[in-house]
This record gives sequence, structure tokens and C-alpha cells, in this order.
Amino acid sequence: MRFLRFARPRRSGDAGQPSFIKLFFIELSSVKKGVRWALPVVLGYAPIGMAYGLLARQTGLGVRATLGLSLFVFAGASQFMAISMLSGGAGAAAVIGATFIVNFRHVLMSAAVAPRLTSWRPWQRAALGTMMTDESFALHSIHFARGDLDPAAAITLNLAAWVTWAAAGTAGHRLGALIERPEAWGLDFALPAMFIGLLLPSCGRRSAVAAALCGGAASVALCLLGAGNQAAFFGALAGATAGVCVKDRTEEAS
Amino acid sequence: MSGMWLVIAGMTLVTLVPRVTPLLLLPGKKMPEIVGRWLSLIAPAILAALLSPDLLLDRDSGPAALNLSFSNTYLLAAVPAFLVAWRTRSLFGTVVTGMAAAALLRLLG
Repeated sequence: MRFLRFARPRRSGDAGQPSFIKLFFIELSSVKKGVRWALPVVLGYAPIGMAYGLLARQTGLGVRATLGLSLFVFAGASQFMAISMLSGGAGAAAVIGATFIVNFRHVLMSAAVAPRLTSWRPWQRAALGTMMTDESFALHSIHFARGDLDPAAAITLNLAAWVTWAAAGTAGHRLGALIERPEAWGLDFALPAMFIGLLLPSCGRRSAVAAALCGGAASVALCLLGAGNQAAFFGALAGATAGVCVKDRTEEAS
Repeated sequence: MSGMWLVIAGMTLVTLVPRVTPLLLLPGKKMPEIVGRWLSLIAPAILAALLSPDLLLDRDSGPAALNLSFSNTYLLAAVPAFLVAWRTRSLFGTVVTGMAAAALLRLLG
């Protein structure tokens, strides 16, 4: 329970770091760790957020609504989808319904990290879930799986990603036209590159490799069948189910 | 304009509930070992499910179609990104390599 520990001498066991550096009640070392974890995500979110802001402007969305979507919804794919649906004249119910379908995969991510967080307070878990994205979820699963359950660091990572996403969207809306062709800089590849960098460290076991292969194949098949909005959710279901059927070697079971 | 804020409020609600509910309800619940194992495989499965359409399908509008040719910039740029991710396990290095490869391919192509 490091997140809300009052300043007091540390137990002799962890004398490695000075105990007096605190930011209010939060240990500064946790915040630094969270920021360090967030750096690659910040690098990836900046161009995607800019692209979102630019597109929102082109479809006639005001800067406040553009920022509002990023701050409150904070789910990139659904935000891109919403602005394109709204510019096509879709109604509120259709946009909200499609958002529910696209974002329902978060229930899997939230459930996947939950069993490890029995030591966290409910508000800490709520804070983690509120700001959890595909990328931060993948990082959290890696950290939690190796036993690093520091709530302050995890929530700092989420906050850094959230602030970056909101700031980049606003910047894209305000001055996105400065970057005429983002593809020429490879900026559009930031998202796939992040997924690649997060996927490989998640594939340490044979069952995980099977889950990834089947999840990827199922998702592509669903897209080809025209069910692109549901592809991530049902692809993940199929992948994890296939992975469970694959036995890990005993030394790699976690 | 108030219509837009209604849309934002609705989108927020339908996104927030799936994000938070399992994290609030699940910890402390007893669950069979196989369910825990299944949940631990969600991360690789969902990442691959999000990534593979980006790499293998044409991103132009219209019905999705497989593109496994050299005209698929994303698939080509993914090769060095995969290599860096595999050798270094560095997310930062992977993102930089991937974006640089995509930019380079467009410069040459």
C-alpha cells in the first residue's frame, strides 16, 4: 500500500533509497517509475493524438468538443469512429451504440488485471480502470505479472498517457495543418509499432504465443467478414480460449 | 452544441462501465484456476487482435481485403519493428524503429 503511506521511516528491508523524498503522500520514486514507463506511450500517442485533432477540425468539430472527447472518453479508435460518424450525419444513439461495441473489449482488459490487485484499495482500482487503454493495459499486465504492483507508478503511467492524449489532440486541432503529410514521417505507424512492442514481451509462454496467433487470425477473419468493430473483442475471446488449450512447459508456467 | 456534449456523455458512460466494473467486482472473488489462466492470456490475444488487421488488411475504405504484397507499407515496416522488439524488448526502440521504417519506405516508394 505505498500509494497513501504517510512519511515515516522505512523498514530496514528497503533501505536502498532515501525515504524523505515524497510528493505529498506519494513516493517520488514511484512517480518517476510511472513516467519512465509512460515515455514510449507518450511518443506513440503524440502523433496519433495530433492526427485525431486535425481530423476533428476537418470534420467541423470545435476545439472544446475535440478536447472533451479525449478527456472523458479517452479511447482513440472510438473517437476516430465518432467524428467520422458525426460528420456523416449519424445520430447520437448510433454513435453511442457503436462506441459501446468498439470499447467493450475494455471489460476483458479490466478483468484480466483485476485478479492480481487484491491488495489495492477500491478507489485505486477504479482510478486504474477509468484511464486504462490498450497500451497502458499491456504495460500493466507486464509489470503486474513480474510482481510490480505499485499503484502510484501504475496510475502515474495512466495519467501521463491521458495528459499526452488530450494535449496532442488539442495541438492537432490548433496547429495540425503545420504537418501536411504525417505519413511521410511515419507518424501513422506509431500505433501498430506500439502494439508490436507490447505484444512480444507478452508472449513469453507457449500458451501466450498460441493466444496471440489465434487472436490475430480470428480478428483478421472477422474484419474480412465485415465485423471490424467487434474484431478486437471476439478475436481476444477466441485467442485466450485457444491459449488455455495449449499446455505450457512447467518451467515457464506463471 | 449541447447535442455534442450529450454524445460525449453517452460515449463516456458506455466506455467507463466496462473499464471499471470488473476491476471493482472481481478482486477477492474465488475463481477456478482455468479462468485465471484464461484471463492471463487476454493481453497477448487482444494485442494481436488489434495489430493483425492493421498489418494484413488494406486500410483504404471499402470492404476489407488481405494485402500480403510489397505494396503493403505497414507489413514491411513491421519487420524491423518486430526484430527490434524481439532482440531488445524495448518499447521505445520498437516505436522509433517502426516509424522510421515506415517513413523510409514512403521516401523510397
